[in-house]
This record gives sequence, C-alpha cells and structure tokens, in this order.
Amino acid sequence: MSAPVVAKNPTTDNYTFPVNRLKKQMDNPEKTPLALIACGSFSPITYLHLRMFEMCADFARFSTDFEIVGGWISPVSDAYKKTGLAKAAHRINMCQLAVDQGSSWIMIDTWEPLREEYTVTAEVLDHFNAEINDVRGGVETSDGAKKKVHIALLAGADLIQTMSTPGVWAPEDIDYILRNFGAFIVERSGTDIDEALSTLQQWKDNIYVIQQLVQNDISSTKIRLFRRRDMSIRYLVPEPVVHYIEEHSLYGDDGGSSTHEKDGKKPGESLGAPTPGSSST
Amino acid sequence: MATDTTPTLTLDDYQFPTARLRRRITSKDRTPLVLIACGSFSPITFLHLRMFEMAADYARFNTEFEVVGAYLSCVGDAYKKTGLVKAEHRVNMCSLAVAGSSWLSVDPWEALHEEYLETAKVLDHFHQEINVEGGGVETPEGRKEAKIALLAGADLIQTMSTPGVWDPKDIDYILKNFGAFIVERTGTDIDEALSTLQPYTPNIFVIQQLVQNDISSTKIRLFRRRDMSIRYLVPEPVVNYIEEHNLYDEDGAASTSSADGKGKMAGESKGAPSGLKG
Repeated sequence: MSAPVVAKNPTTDNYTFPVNRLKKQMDNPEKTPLALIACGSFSPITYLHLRMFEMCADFARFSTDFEIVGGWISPVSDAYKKTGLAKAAHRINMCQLAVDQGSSWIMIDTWEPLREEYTVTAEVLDHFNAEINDVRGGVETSDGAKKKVHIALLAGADLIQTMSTPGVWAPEDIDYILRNFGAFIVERSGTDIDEALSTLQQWKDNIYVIQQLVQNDISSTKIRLFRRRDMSIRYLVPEPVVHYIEEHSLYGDDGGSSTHEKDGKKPGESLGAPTPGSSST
Repeated sequence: MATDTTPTLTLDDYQFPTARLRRRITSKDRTPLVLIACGSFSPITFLHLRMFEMAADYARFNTEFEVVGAYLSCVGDAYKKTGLVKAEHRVNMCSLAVAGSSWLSVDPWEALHEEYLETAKVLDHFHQEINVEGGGVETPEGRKEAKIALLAGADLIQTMSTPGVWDPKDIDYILKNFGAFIVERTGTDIDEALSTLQPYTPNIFVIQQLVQNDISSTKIRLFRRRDMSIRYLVPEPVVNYIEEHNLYDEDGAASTSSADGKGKMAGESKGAPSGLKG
C-alpha cells in the first residue's frame, strides 16, 4: 500500500520549484550547463521515458560540450483533454514514484499540471528559464562565477514529428522554442527522424538527435491498451507505478478487476501467471 | 555492502525450488504448464522477465494450458560463451531480478554442474522433479503431469534451424516430448526460424511482441564497456550487483558505484549530474 506522495489536493498556492536534485556546482567550468525538460502526458510514465534521460546524459557527455545540471519532467495539465489522460494528481504521483527511488537526478515539476488552463510548451520552458536563471541566477562554477543554464526540451522523435505536421503547433511557438531553447530528440522506432526534421532545418543547430541503440517502443498508449485487455504491464513501467495503477484502478476497462495482492499475485502480473496460495500438496 | 543472495551452493545440498510452484489447479479442462527459460542470462534483463509475462498472457488467452510455475535455468560455466561471467554471479543476478515476482523462480541445478548439460537433459530434470518425484499437479480431472515447455526468444529457435548448431536428435527430443513457447524478436524472421521445424509446429507456440523491444544481454555488456548507462534496461538490484562486482567492465575499470560518494545511483549515466544538490 503506497503512501500518497503529493497532497490530496495540490494547489498552485503551495507550489515551490523543485531544486533538491539540481547540481549546486559545475564540475567543469569550460562546459555549458544544461537543464533537460521533458514535457508530455506521462499517462503513465514508462521505463522508456526514464531511459530517455539516461540516453541523453550519455549523449551530452560523449558528443557535446554540455554539462547536465538537472532534469525535470513536466506533465501536461488536465486541460489538455487528450485520450487516456488520467487525472493530473495521479500522473504526478506516478512520476514521483518512478523517480523517488528510481533516479538520483530527475525531478518532477508540478507547475504545469496544477494549472487549470493549458500552458503552451514555450511558456513552460520560459517558466524553467525564469526559475533557474532569473530567480537563481543560473549555476555556480568552480571558480565562484555563475553561469546561465541552457534550457532544452527532451523529447522523443514523435513529438518533433508533430512540430513538422502542419496545423499542430503555432509556427511562432516552434520558432520560439527551437531558437531560444533547443531540443534533444531521442529517435523512436516508427518515426522517420529525417522526415520529422525536414521542415525544421533552420533550427538544426539547436536540435540534437540521439540514436537509440536499443530498439524500444514501450509507449504509454500500449500500457493503457494492455490494461484494458487485462494484460501484464510488469517490467514495462517501474514497479511502484504498477502498484499505483492497480491500487487506483487506472486505465482498466471500467475500473475492472485487478490482481490485488490479496490473492498473492503482485500487482500488474499476468493473470495467466499462477496464483500462489494453492501451492501446498 | 554485499548483495549476494544465497551462500555458495553445491549439488550436494541442492534442493529443487518449489516455493512458487502450484500443485493444484481448479480450472476445468486445462493442462498444467511449467515454463523453463534456459540461457546465459549474462546479465538478465527486463526483456527476459517480460518474456514470462507475455507467455503467461498468451497461455491464458490462446491455449488450454494453465501456468503453474516458471523457472530460469542459467547455463553452466563449461559453456564458454563470450561475455559469460561466473555462474554464481549469473544465478545471483537472476535471483535478485525475480525476488519481487510471485511466480518466477531460479533453478541453479544446471549451473551447478561442471560439465555442460544439453537442454534436453535440463528439461528432463524438470520433468523428473515436478512429475516423476513431485507427482504432477492436482486438477478437477485428477492428477495430471505438468507440461514442461521451453520458453525462448526466436533467436534461440533460429539456432535450432541452423545446421550444425544443435544435434538433430536433441531438437527432436525437446520438441516432441516437451515443446516450446517462442517470443518473437526484432531481427529474427520467425517464419524462417520455424521453416525446418515444420513437423513440430503443433508443439511450438509463437507469441507476438506487442511492444518492440530488443534489450539484449549483449548490448548491456557493450554499454558497460563503453561506460554507458544500463539503468531501466535491467532491474535495479541487478544494476547494483553489476556495479558492486565490476562485471562486464573493459578491465574491471572504475564504476559509478555510490561508494565514490558522488551520490549517483549505480548504473546511471556518468553524464547525469552527481554530487551535492540544491
């Protein structure tokens, strides 16, 4: 039985920008400090979302002059009204469960999801820029100076594909985001990255493409599909998130039956797996 | 801070693990099924664990089998395959990986042998333990033998249809007496893999992967050699174990263990921020 990690009715009143895992001081004053912001529905968060951050960290270290100082997940607000969107409080809780024990550097920002109105991504990035650079003056280097942190979007190629699809994004927003911030894009099976980047050529210097060495297309859509079909989601999402989904009957057909721990199976395990308790001969 | 699980085992003190094996089913007209995954598991990954979950879903929805148990059987050190670390480590990592499961078990019997054991012999061992000595499984239609079947990725089946790899007698023995649940794998043409195994197809069940996933132990080892993150590809306790024992490093080189005081968790990307925060 997991304890709630967010207050039952979180409000914007008691909001503070999370910095508990923000690096206090850079290791290398020559590098440019970088903050990664992943925007999305996260309904639910999956291992692939978490892998994105790890892959980007490897990429930044091996292929760029950036030094990552923090990573944040910013779940979209309920106003977005996308299919399969569980309530913001649940999505925040699941994200928090995923990173609490499961990561040492990723944080969950609740500013965007707690707002009642929908916030465009450009504004979300502005918010991070304001909190990190305006309010805090950036990050310290080892010689005592403070450096402005480069804020960038971290996303899968599918999100970038929407940017090159006419009518989805406001062109001014695309320009604003890619010119002032930039993006780290993780390749995704099923998305032609070249096609996705084709209409974004003028900003290509600010777009970094990370290849997935492990083909992986765990998607939240599939997690929700599996749940509706009573199929196992174990090992696709972190265990505490599996528990949470079961306990709150999320994504089931009609809040359908769950493999409650009282019949001995662990939440999220296949219903085809044996139920312990009748093992005695 | 050791995370070793069981103390060093020998064949003398070996006991077949039955704690998570069901001895009775209540559904009518179902045949009890035990899934056996044989492999190197160097190291075990989330995809290995997913295989079991997928097979259980498949059995429930598409067959008249009812799963009563599942085992991981690590190959012994005599196999001498690239990338194989000591059997003891591999068994420990598997045990850590299934600790949180209610139905997956690790059987160290195969790994405890100094000589290499053919898969056919390993399956015989399970049949012996579960059906011959264990007396099978109680069903509404009386005592039944549990069907023992191999659980594997399509890559393993592909080796069965590659000339010279398997002894044809073993293939015949396994597929005739036991059977196989095969999980489709990106990069393997399943039809091609099954092409020369036509006579056995009624005993071969093909499970489609609805999530394309090619986490492989080979890639995990590659990432480790390149100092790259393996987090979220293998279970966290396994990441910790690999770090603590310096497994799969280029030359046992420095690892991102939390002992270096940098505050990062084991296996995390070295490009991720570490150290004092906030």
